[in-house]
Amino acid sequence: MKNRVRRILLALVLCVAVSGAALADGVVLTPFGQSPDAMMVRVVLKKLGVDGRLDKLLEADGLQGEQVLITVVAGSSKGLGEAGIDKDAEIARMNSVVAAARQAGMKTLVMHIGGKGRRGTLTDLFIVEAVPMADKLLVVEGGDFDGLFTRLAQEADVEMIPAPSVRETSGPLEAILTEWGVLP
Amino acid sequence: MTRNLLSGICLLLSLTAAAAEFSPDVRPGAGVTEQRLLSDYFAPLADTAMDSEVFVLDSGVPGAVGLMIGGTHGNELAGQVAALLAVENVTAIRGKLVVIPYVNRSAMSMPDSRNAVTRHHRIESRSGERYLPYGDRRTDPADQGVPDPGRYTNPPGYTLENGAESRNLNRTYPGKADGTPTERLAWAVMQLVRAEAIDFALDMHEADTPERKPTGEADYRPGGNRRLAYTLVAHPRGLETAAFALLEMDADTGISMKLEESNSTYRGLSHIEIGDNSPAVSFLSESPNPGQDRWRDDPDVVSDTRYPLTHRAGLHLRLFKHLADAHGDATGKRLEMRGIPEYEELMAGPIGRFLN
Ligand SMILES: [Zn+2]
Repeated sequence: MKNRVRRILLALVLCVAVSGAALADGVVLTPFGQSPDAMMVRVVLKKLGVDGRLDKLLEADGLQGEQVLITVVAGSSKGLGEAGIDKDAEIARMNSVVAAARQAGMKTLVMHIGGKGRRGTLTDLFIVEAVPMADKLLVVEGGDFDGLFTRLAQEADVEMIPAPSVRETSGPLEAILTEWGVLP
Repeated sequence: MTRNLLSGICLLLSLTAAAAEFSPDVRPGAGVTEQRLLSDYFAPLADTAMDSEVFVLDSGVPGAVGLMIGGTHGNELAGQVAALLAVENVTAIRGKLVVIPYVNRSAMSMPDSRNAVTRHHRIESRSGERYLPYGDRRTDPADQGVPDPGRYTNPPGYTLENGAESRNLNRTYPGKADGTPTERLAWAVMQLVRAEAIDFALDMHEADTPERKPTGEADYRPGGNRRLAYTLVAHPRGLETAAFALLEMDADTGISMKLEESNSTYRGLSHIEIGDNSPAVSFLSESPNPGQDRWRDDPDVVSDTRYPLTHRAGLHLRLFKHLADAHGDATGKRLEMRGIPEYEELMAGPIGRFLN
């Protein structure tokens, strides 16, 4: 009798664990700098069959058991204004999210997809903060035109993967998410 | 006699005060099923310089209704020509396409005040010689009828420091039925959007090119992130659709564009107000126009080697197609069209090969 109860309980626990894992869709996305570039990445993921949850203002307690955090770095003063936060608050938010992700055993992918057009004082400030947070770095051509990413990646000992265009981040993304267990 | 002379003088005076009327040269193709006027949607525009032609391409098959707006700014040629390309080549096979090639006809009646770009540009069309008009950014003051205010507070209550912006159609949305002529024009567009049950709208613009006067210096300026050309602005409800369309744009044309979201605090622009004041999802595209570079002496707005009109008009046209497809994927409501020139074909040029 006791054994039977234990077995039922065990089955219940297993069920919860399995359904919990199924609910966690693997990837959560947040912009670093409040530009809409994270939406572009969400769509590239969708085409790979990954329904990444996009939360513009993701906080440390907003992680839902995902395996991978993707943050897309690009500063938008308009976006920050809409969100009602300044650059320091944005950096603080990302520091706490990434710390929580690391604690939860998640991998963090930092992306820059805007090329040279999305570089500038504000973006560069976020880039300097973002690169050391990364387990891997994925940069679209042009974004590293002055070698900033290369230099920061070397300093932080982070692997940097280039992609020729936003659309062509698909291949590297697929490889990274496979390596990190999100894709089979 | 004196009375006759006086009335004659009065007539002459009123004629010179009246704005030069602009009659658009649009040569509809077989796909156009109905020709209308903005005044059909808002009667007070009838017989004024603010009225403009609307072309309807109805497949007769239920589907999505898309709206293409050209000529919001008279000096932004590519959006106008993208609209002409649609009206003169396209047939809707599912859903309905509504096109306004020269929405601010009054602005088209004025010469370009920014760069003094030539008024008429000769091209060789399918039927021979044809001229593409080039106008000004804003409504003719004579058509506006009231002097510019010192500052302009637009219908949604946003204040612009430059009073001349009261004549900028893309600052007067969602318009005002009893407002200035430019505000009434925006109101007429909104009435059309509601009456035609528009599902998605693209307002096509141009901006200065990413190039600067060649001085030998690197063109990287930290913080100089204000480039508008190659941007697609999306209403928040359309952000994901826009992102899908941009990926397809890249695959189709090799043009990579920047995605921006409407700023909800900067009011009066089509992309935010059409979306906020109707069920339509609204977008605004920007192509690079050498005619808007202040540093160029004699810009060629048709045949510039780096930014030819084929590239710029093709950008808007292909983008519209990809927005239609992405909107269809997202909602299940499709606008399907036949006859849209492929981007490669367009780039082979010249532009006149695609115009009647
Ligand atoms: Zn414009």
